[in-house]
Amino acid sequence: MAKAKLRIYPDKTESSRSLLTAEPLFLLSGVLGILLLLRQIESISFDLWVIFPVSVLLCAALWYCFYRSISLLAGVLGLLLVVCGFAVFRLRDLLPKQLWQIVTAVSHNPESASMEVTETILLFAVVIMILMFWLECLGRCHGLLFFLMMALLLFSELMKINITIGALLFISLFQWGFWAVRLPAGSKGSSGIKIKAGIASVLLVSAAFAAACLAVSRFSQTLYTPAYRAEEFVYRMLSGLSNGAGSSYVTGQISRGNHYETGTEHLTLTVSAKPSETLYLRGFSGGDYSGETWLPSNEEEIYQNMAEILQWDTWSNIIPGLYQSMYYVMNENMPEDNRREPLTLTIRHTGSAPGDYFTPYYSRFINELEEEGHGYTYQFFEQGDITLDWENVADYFAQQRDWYLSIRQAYSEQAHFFYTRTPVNRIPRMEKLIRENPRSTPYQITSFILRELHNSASYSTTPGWMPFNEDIVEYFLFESHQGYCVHFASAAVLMYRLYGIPARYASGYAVPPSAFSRQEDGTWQAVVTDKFAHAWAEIFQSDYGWSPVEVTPASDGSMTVQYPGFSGLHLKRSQKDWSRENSGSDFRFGSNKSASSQLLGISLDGIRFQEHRNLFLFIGFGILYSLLFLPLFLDYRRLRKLCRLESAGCREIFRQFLNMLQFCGIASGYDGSEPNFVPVVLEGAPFISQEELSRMLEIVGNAAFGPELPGELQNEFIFRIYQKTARRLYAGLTWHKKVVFRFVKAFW
Amino acid sequence: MRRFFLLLLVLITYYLASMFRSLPLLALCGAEGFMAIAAFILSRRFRAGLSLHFSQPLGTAVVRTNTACKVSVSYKGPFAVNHYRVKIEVYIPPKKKKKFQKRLKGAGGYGENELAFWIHAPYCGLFRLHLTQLKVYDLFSLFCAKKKISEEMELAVFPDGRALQIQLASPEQYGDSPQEEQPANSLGEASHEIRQVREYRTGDLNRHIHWNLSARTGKLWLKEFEQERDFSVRLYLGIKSGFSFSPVRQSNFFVLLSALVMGLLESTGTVRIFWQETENRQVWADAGSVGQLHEILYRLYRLSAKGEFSDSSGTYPEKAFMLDTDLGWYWEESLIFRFSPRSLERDIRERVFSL
Repeated sequence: MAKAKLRIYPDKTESSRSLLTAEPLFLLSGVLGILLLLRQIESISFDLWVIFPVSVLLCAALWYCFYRSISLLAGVLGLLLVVCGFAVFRLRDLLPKQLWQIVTAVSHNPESASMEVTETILLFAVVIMILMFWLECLGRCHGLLFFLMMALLLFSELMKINITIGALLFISLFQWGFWAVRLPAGSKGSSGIKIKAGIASVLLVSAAFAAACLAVSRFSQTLYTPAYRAEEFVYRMLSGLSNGAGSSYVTGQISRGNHYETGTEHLTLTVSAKPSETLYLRGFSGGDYSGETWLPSNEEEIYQNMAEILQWDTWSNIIPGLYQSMYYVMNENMPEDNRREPLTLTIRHTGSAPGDYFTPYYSRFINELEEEGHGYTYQFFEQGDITLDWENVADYFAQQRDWYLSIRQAYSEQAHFFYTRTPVNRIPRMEKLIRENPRSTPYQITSFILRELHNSASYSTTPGWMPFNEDIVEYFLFESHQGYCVHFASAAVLMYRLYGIPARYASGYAVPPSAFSRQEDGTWQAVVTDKFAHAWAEIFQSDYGWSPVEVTPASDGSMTVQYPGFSGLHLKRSQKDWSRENSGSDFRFGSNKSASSQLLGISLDGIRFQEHRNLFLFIGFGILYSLLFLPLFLDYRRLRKLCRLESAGCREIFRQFLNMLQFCGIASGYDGSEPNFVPVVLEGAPFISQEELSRMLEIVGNAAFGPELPGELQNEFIFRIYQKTARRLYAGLTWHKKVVFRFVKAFW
Repeated sequence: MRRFFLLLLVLITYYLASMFRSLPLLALCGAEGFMAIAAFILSRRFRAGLSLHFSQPLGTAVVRTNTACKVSVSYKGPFAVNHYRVKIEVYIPPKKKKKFQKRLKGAGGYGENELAFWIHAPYCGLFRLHLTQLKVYDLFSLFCAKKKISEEMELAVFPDGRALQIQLASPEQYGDSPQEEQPANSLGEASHEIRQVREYRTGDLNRHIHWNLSARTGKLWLKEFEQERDFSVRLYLGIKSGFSFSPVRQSNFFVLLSALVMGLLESTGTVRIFWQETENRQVWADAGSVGQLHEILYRLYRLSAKGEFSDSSGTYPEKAFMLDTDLGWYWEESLIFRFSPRSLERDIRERVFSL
């Protein structure tokens, strides 16, 4: 006894199950939310007006069975699984196709055509309802479902499935509502509390969403900023830990995320004279476009092909060297009145990627530096100093010019073959844009590309992440409309290629003249950090070779483009002008919506009729569902009536007793006050004893005319006789009278 | 935990919403933020509207059986409180250190509600139940608002009513005539003895209401007197000092006292129990029924809790039984049997005493 412990434990005698409660509504809300999300997947369609009512019916049926008895629920669940299994067997040919269609639609495969998948979604709705019911009502593990629902929403965003406000609201109601109605076990009056808590949670969630939508539609850009700041901080911290940024500036990787600078030093440039224009140092040239990456250009293959075309045989190994310095040498050997002095550039690698080479345009490699570290020297001409005239050269240079012409011709053929290839199936919208806007001359093409980029996108180093199942360039150009140099350059290169102009994606550094400072020895030096890392497009012109085309706008949105052979274009417009031009453009971009319209435009559009829906079919299904619901409703009504009758008092019970007898053809026209009432009733209902009936009449008589109301025991006695009589009378009825007796009249 | 889990999810959602520039997800984060603020405010509103107190200031229970206790919960605020926790601490007087504590969860709608719980006491005696802390949660159980409360209830745990098997060869030898001296008794009437105390029913005489007990318990109790009775047996309680400081020892004593009185009542009409309170004041009370015995036990519990017994060891009254706190049972000066704490239950259940 001494080791025995005092114990206190809660009273859990009151059942937490109640038919009238908010739980099934929240469960239904969760399932409907998922269905609305599925509705937003492009390339699939299903009949909401079939699936929604089935979900409602199933939810009501499951809850009703749960309320009545667990064994009934187990039976219904088993039956449902059997039905599902049978349906899978019957639809064994159709379901795999529909499933595959859903998978391809989720992955945004542009080749997938639209398909009706009602059967699969219906099965999915049934299974998901059973699972959620199981976890919520039997397993009581709402936390897991809360997490899964959240994961579903995040996954939808990653897969760029449009999350409608309706789906969001339904799912949130499910998530928060169940928390509100999940009471401690054994709480007294739990049904009423659950309903109040459920109503409160609905009000709270709705109000919170209304407020949030208002705030988000007005301040979305401001709200995004803290996340970018946090990401930038983490990026810089990690870069610091890894001792500087990596060599992403010499790869063809197109970033799906934001771009942050760390200030890490990469190069030191020394120039013989101050440059008058931006110095482009190319570290990477892109060949084929693979969706997320530009593959390195395969110049070796081009040179091999050129050797075959030119048939130089033993001299073929000098072709690369000749070609790479060809435009520099040509410009250097122009007649004296056109000649410009080249600049000498020394590049020293101070930071990462010491093995890479960065090459200026119109240049010639001089030598490697012999000092410590990685360094080398070029001579180059600035773009403004290119004064190439292939016809007018000095006599001593005519022979070499002729060789250069042959090389130029061979390279041009190869460039047109290799650098105009585009994966059209990856970029259907861009292909359509180019097809619908034909341009003929290079000037028109460049102007069109620049205008489209200028009008449809704005520069931002924090455009956010791009979805993983979308093509980056298409998403940038037609949906997000925000990006930085890699996106602008990639889009421009693809558009040039679609127009048939050889173009390459180039990345490296773009160093403005302002970055150079004069040194004591008269040279000009610039320290190149990752701030100068850049990507641009380069196009091939036979007369000038590869020229950089700056397609990324400045921070104020202006664009200035000039390269040899192009007379120049300056675009400068305000945001307002951009919007106006865009709306009047020949080509309508996908979803250029403001924040508020994007939020409001998605409101509940999942619940609308399609044009081809037949109204009669809808009415027919409505009637069918009503008929399916009817038994549940009638049984619920019967139980409510019997509950009310039990607590109604003996006179009300006796009145119902008389109605029941008369329905069964006993004592018709009697009201209980007749002298022969007892024998008449006993004749029709011999299972009631005379004593019971006499006492019943006595109690009811006292209740009607006596000085005191009958007590609880007397009421219980009357109700017991009533139940006994109802049970015995019911057993003797025909089946259709049984239905009326039980469900319409609700006698038992 | 839930708050941390939710915060983590909201942060992830916000990060992804910002990165993907997703307005719906940003709206979701905003809504969750608003809901968190609303939940915090609601928890404070719920706390202000919720009050708890024990339904009865005094409860009775039988040892080693589950006894239901109720806490009245009154809520006057918005919606319904769907989750609160109250801390119950149990003390065994006179000790101030809590013996046991438990947190009970409940819910309540607008108006009066109740929180029921079961208590299982392993030994007899007086227990004090304190409601000390109330934690009221918001609708989603994210935030809780604490509130200190100080509600108290006494729980008198009585023995299970088992009787010692006593066979008196000549009962008259051990008893007195009822018409003997009638010193002033705090429980009895001047001319009639109380047979039992029961709850008041409509139609009972007002003058028979036991006002003292009614005032203590908050319910109306009625004294039932008996005119006729058999002889009474005297039982002295030899209580030693320090007795009140051992709940188990105290429980053994009361279990034996109860069994002894119940056993004697099977052969006699009344057992007159004597004990000594402070300043060696001798007090007695008659136990003629279970109700009277419980009343005496309750009185002894309170004396024990207050430490108001005086040391009466070494006193051997004539023509009377005596029971001391070492579980020794005497007739006059001779020891009838000394019970062992370890085998007390078995001895009461199985041993037969033929006197």
